[in-house]
Amino acid sequence: MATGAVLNSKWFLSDDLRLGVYTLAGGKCGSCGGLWFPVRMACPSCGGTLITEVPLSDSGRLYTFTWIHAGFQAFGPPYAIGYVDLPEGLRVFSLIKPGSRDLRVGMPVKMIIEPLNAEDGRLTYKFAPAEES
Amino acid sequence: MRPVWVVGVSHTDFGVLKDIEAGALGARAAIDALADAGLTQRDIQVAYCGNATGGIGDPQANVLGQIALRQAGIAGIPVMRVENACSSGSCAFRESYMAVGSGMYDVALALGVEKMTGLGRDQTFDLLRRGSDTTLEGLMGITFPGVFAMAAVRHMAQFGTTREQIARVAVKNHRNAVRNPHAHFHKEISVADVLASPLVAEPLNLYDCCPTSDGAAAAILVGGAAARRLSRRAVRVAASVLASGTYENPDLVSFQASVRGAREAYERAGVSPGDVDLAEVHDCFTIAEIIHYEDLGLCAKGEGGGLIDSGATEIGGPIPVNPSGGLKAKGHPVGATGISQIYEVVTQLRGEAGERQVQGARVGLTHCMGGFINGDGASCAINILIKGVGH
Repeated sequence: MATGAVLNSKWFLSDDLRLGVYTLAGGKCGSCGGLWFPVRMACPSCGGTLITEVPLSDSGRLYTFTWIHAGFQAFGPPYAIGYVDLPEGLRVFSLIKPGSRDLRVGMPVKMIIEPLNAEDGRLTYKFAPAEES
Repeated sequence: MRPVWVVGVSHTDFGVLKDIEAGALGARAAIDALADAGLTQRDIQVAYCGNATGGIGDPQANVLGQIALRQAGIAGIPVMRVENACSSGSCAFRESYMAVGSGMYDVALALGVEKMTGLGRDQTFDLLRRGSDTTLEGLMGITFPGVFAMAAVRHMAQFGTTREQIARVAVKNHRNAVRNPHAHFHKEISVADVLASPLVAEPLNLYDCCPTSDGAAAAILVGGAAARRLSRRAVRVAASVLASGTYENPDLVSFQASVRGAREAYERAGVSPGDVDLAEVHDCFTIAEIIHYEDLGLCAKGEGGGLIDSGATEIGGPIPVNPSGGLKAKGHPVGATGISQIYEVVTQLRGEAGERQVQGARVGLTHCMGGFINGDGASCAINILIKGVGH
């Protein structure tokens, strides 16, 4: 299991992080029940400030993606980015690690944890193609 | 708000402009706008200077407005730099509109300036991703072409928009720019040229992307006592609107700031999309123009590809879009673009656009976006200008 400094600890459930476990964290509004990623200080829907961390799924479907060819050298272009739809109804931005697979809109993807890039070893979530279930 | 009129506009060449710093570029635009308005330096009472990359593209990080105006012989009056990423110039225009429309000032200068060429590629990317959320996608290698490439993938998957339709935006805008003396590019390109150019972010190629450019533009707005005697070249500002995005769970085929801004602008101006005779829109990337057609109500959602195919947005068509050549071919000196769009619309409404004239143009719209947060435009500024002197 990967361990070490994370890119942004706000993205992960604090309790799990303390145990070296990386669970994507959403912010649930105590006033209206709205769910948001990442967690924030006030609810975009009702402005409520009673926000609690809740665990999010670690798998979803690829809503859209692209291969960046003219991009930052540290990420080793071409590299893939995209938006992942989680079952909770959230659409999350992510780096995508296709491995040997072709990416396509709608494909199932699963969260992985790994260093950001060749120059920055801080851990972040990324998504990779999962087997069809 | 009392009536506000644009009585002077100016535009420098856009392109790679060596040996002139941002302040001098801005001064040039200010002096030319004054000449066009038939006013002098002493007439300007307030000024706003749109500029986004000061301090990186050009050493002047702060107080660029004052620096430029000093060279133009103007000092002492209230001046402020305005930044809203790529819509900085439009926001400078809107500040000027509100300053005059509120009755606080009678004569305002809206200036837009950018010097941003000559940077290394990583530096340029870094510059541009400052308009994204630097705590999330900005950390993960996002580039602006990347945002719009994802939008293109989605638009094609959801509506069947084709790669060729997307490329046609660049072809149209390059053709228009041939007729624009100030444009960055004066070269026609074909769909084949677009598809053969290097991949930037799939499916977008180099020729789907606007360039970085240097340049400046200015507009002079008047109201109240200064509007008592207007020439036939004066153009009324019917609406000047700014909206922000909503950013959550973006669909990437529509930009909320554009939709909200357009709705408010049409309402304030008392016109509908069908009344618009020409529009200058934010074609930072080809796919963006297609999405803007839809968000501005020029066609239904998903039908932007069909609209470009129909030729409707050509100069001779029912709704010319980007007769100037747009960001793609006219160039995109970030802070100047918003004012450049005003220059084009005013010039068209005055009947002074020469070979790119839209016949009978009476109602013009400018649409400029700035920044992208989580796949949604951070800002959208829309102006509607209407020809005709009469209070």
